[in-house]
Amino acid sequence: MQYKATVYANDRLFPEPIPHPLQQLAPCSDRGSPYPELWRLTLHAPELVSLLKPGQFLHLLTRPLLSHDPLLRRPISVASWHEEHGTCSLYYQVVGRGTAYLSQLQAMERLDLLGPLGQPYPMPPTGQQSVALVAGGIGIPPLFPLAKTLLQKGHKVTLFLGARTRGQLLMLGEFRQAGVPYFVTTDDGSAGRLGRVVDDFHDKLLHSHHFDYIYTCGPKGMLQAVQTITAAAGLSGWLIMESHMACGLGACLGCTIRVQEGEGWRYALLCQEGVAFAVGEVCFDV
Amino acid sequence: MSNSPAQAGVTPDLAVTLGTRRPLRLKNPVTTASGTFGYGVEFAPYMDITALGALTTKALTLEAREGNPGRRLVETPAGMLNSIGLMNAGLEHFLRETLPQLRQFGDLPIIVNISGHTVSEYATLAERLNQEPGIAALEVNISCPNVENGLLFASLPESAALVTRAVREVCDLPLFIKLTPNVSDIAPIAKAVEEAGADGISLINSVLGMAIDIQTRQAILQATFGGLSGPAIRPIALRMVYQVYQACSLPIIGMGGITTWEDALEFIFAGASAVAIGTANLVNPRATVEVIQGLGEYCQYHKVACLAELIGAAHR
Repeated sequence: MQYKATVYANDRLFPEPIPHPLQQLAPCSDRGSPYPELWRLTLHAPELVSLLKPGQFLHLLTRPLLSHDPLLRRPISVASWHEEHGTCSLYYQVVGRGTAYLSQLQAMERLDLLGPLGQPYPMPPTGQQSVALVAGGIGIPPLFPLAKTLLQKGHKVTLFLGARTRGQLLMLGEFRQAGVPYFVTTDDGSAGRLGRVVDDFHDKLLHSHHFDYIYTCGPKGMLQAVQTITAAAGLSGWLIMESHMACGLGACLGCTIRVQEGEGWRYALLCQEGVAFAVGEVCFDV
Repeated sequence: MSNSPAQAGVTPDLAVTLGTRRPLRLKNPVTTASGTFGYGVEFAPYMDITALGALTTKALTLEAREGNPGRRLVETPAGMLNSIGLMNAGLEHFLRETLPQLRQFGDLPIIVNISGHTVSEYATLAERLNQEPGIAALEVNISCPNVENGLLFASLPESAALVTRAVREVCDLPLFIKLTPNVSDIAPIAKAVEEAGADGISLINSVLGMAIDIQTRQAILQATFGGLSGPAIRPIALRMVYQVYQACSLPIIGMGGITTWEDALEFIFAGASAVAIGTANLVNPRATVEVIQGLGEYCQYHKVACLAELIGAAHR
């Protein structure tokens, strides 16, 4: 229709930045696949970056600007950010249509970005000096901003990180540079100890290391194992969870996690109360 | 030159009035589809809630409901399946905590969506809400596909009328009955609720659907079936709004996949007096205000002085 072509064409094909600090069209300033099957994306969103705190996630619309499909945003944890440059970086694995779209973004192409969402990571109480971080696979990057913050606050941080194979040990260089001592485990033994990161953590906890507090992020089975081990050891800390999510704002009620409350349980919204849940709180049986 | 309101620089009148016996006047035709906008406060950081024509709340039940276990969401082509299970804190909590919060939006009409297992639950809810100030209308959800009895009430003209009459008897608020698309013929159901005393009809609720995980060979949603929503269902919704407009004289709040102002216009042309934005809110928290702005600009461009003139244009 004439109307669209004359009045709206420019507007709609090349939308202006959304004038809102919490929702922006952020240009992609860098993207690539620095690890096999794993991708990194850097976005320029200064206002949003200035609000970011460790533990929060961004909600990315992973489709061309005028498309309806894929419909929903993708929640992705922020791995690092640079306030002066106004950029933030995140890592992802291509698992479906949304992440496939991300992997094909061109430089300066813009993404509709919502955030920061979720609660910042709770910090260890005073006196809990020695903190263990247990991370697996794509669960490694969300712990990087946390490690830096903990170090700044004077905690002793030890990282246990595991991946399928050597090439997928994400951000190892960054952790090294930040001065975080780490223990590596790989499923195929191509780097560090052969086996599961959880077992390595468990062994050291039992025999050689003292920890006051833990954070863990990784596949569900890993989180469950870490929860069992740490609860048995009487340790406190946080499981960094994920869930299928639509709005990220607490409206759709889709991203529920079953958590214990008193004698019973309740559904907690991951986007509102998470992404970290207390050790011992999460019910993994459903 | 004439001074008609449609001249550039003059704001067109977007107001609509739904119904005559208990008129519900909205400053613009855009509301929120129940369950996609929480209670408004969730969206306050992103937009001006008071810009809405009305706010329709998440479904309210007599007792608190914890919702469905397991996975609740699946993305599908241009849509999503949900099985939330009417998770809400129940009537008492709503009256104590939520309604006072909603009243802070000032003049914004609040449409409270209610749902129940039984006819008497609907009536109890309606009777209680009828006594509360600050509620503009009730939307009676007799069509949620996630709770066993919901499907039943909206599936047949008789049971739809039964709930409508029971609520009508105890409530003076404008009543909008929300119908399901999961029926063979929507027209007799619309007529039945009209005769039973409804003031308007909301349609459509989500379309019953499912998705299967090819690895586990099982339904992805723990509830097996879920409600399909989003742009994928828009043509179905539009067709049903068109049919109901022909079948009865009640005002219609049209919904089902509306994402942009262009979509909203289609529904208004099909016969909707107002439109509800649903799943689009879950993707773009500013969807409602963008639709309102687009409708205004459309009217201005086309020199439409009052948007209400456009209702049902496709039938003329």
